[in-house]
Amino acid sequence: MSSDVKVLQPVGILNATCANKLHEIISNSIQAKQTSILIDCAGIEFMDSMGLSCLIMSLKKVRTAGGSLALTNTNSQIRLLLEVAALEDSFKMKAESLVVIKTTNWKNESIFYLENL
Amino acid sequence: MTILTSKPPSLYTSNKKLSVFPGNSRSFLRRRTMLFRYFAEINLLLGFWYLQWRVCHSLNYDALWLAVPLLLAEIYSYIGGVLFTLGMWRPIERETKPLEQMSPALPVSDWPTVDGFITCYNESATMVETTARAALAIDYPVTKLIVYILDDGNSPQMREMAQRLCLEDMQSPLLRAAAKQIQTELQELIDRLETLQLLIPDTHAAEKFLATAIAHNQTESLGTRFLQNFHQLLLLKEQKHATVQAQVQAEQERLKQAILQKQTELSGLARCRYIARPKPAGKPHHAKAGNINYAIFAGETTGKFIITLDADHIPKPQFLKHVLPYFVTYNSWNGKYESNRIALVQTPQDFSNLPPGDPYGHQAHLFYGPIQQGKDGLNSAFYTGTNAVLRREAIVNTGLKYFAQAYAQDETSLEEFDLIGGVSSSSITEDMNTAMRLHAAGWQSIYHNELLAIGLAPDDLSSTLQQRLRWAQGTIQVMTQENPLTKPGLSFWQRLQYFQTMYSYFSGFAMAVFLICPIVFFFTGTVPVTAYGNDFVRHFLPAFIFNRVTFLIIGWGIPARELWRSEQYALSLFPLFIQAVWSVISKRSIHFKVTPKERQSGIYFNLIKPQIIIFGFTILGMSWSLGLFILGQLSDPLVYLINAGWSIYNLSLLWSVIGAAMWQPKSTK
Repeated sequence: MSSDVKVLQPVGILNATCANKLHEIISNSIQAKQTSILIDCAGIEFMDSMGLSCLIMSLKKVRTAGGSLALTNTNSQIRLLLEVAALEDSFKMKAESLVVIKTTNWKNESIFYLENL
Repeated sequence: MTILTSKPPSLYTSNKKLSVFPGNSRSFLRRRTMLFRYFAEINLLLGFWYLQWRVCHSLNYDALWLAVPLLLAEIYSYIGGVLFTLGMWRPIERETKPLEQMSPALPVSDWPTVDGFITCYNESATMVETTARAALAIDYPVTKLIVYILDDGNSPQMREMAQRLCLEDMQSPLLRAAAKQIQTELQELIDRLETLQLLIPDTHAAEKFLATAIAHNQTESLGTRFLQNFHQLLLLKEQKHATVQAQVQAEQERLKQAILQKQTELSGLARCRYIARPKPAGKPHHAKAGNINYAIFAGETTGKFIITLDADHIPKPQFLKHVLPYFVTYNSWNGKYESNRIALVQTPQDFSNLPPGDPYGHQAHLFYGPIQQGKDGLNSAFYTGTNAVLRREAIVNTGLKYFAQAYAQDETSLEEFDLIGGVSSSSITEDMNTAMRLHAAGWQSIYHNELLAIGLAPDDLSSTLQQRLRWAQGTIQVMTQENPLTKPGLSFWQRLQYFQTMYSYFSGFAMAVFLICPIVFFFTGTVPVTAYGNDFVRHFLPAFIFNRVTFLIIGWGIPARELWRSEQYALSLFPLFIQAVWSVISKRSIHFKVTPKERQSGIYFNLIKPQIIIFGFTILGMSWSLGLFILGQLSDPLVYLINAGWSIYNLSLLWSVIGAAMWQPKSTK
């Protein structure tokens, strides 16, 4: 497992269409053996149920690959959705991986935009 | 005779005669409901009167071992009748305007995107091709409908067929026109973006110039003044940007997005796609529910609505235009159509391959008609797995709730999220369970009584029995897992509707008692009723007659032959219903068996042994007693007569499955 944490910064509304793009990016990143992924949700205005299921699917994929997925800067709407689904704890990285985050250079090259359809 | 066998033309609402009414849809009480209520009330009163007579005055205390089961069977049937009547209390008929005729008009650009899911398992690629072709031919904007073949059998022929169909579809004039249109729009956008990009350096320079000019108070010259005014004018147009440069950049961003969208639309024109999920050995696959859920979550499908079609159900072109209007409501405050709480619209199932006389009793005009309309009137129209349109948001939303529960109990359920997170997978009748969960979550459903897809029915006894067994097992399974009587979120009437369906599947035991009683009499002379005679006739006959009349009123318009067939099957499948209850209660594992679509050949007497044994003993018993009568040893001919009548009724009901077991298609030379 690579020690780098890949940071994704999606922007816009996380719905079915955008979720598919996120899917693709995460699958590619797993294939490239990059399995520690942090999603910075600061740019997400709104997330619907398909967005949430995409996050769950990503969590599943990343975990199966032996990695971890975390969310940060979640807004109240996203937190509410996670809470309802009782999933908020699942998207936190374990202590040891948090250390990794701190020691890693944050790479912002992976910013991507989700088109708002 | 030909008149009897030909199909009645007007069992479903025909849309040819659209009556004029304000708004986009209306519903009204089904015709003859008042008449039904009138007779049903009398029927229930008479039934009650009969039952109290049975309990208080006619129970044979000398033969309680027979009398009590019969009484219980009668009480069971009476309660079933009460539940059925309540469920049918408010059947409704609906009328809607098709999507393009809605007023105020819903612009085509606002029509929602739709995914067509054709679920298949081991059906032949040619059969699925017919269905897929019809699905692609549904009258709907080509950029808004994508057909997915969800092949759970993962067969190379199917994949090849899907690819071929996709290419063929893209060659069609409609698709070509659409592609050309999108390409033109795309080119326009690209041109504008280029112009904009050329403008950017100049805008920058101009604003810089203006800024220095203002700073040095050199605004007297006409050119500068004009530039200043023009600058302000531009800023007025969109006030959130402080400079024209920012404005241009925002516009540039917007154009890039629009280009991206057009590109997605262009790639979306590959309208026939193939999905075969991976099925790792040793892990649960969750059958049809797993197949659909995988398609929802795997990240390839995005449509706001999902039309589910079984592999052999061929949709008609008007399907979406007639069904989608239910999903939006006009909000007169903001003048827009908005999403409502309708989660699904179910349409009827009918079959194109039924042999004359329908030996297996597949025609279901009673269910896809008065019964579903009755359920619809109480906001509990059932989802039956095919020929329905689902709202993706509702499915995913509700599915996530149940996933969260499963996940809280067991973290490993995350591994199968994509198989269980949407449509319910915890029962072998995933459709019924899904609808119940949607209802419990506050979503609504609609039954649209217009035939919009025609399928194939299993045309041999083995497959038919297999299918019925699955329905029975699945329904009882749902009841044991999520009891509708206690499930939070359901309304009283919804509880009643679901419970009534489940209750009806316990009928096997009562039916067995009704079949055995006369046989016992013929051989032993034991009767469960003390007073077979005038008193019996006086209590029984009115209830029986009113029961028949009420049933005929419900089935008004449905051929008598079909009603009779459905009644025959309700009784003669009794061993199957008992088996279903037993298998669920004894917790024997139940597997989803896909109903075969091709005829399995052979004669099936071995499948209906219990029915044949009962049939044989009934005839034997009747002849035995007739012999006694001839010899003058029969003590009570009237009792014999009643039992003989009862037996003949039983025999004629049982005959359906025996006839079906012998039935062979006329060989085509």
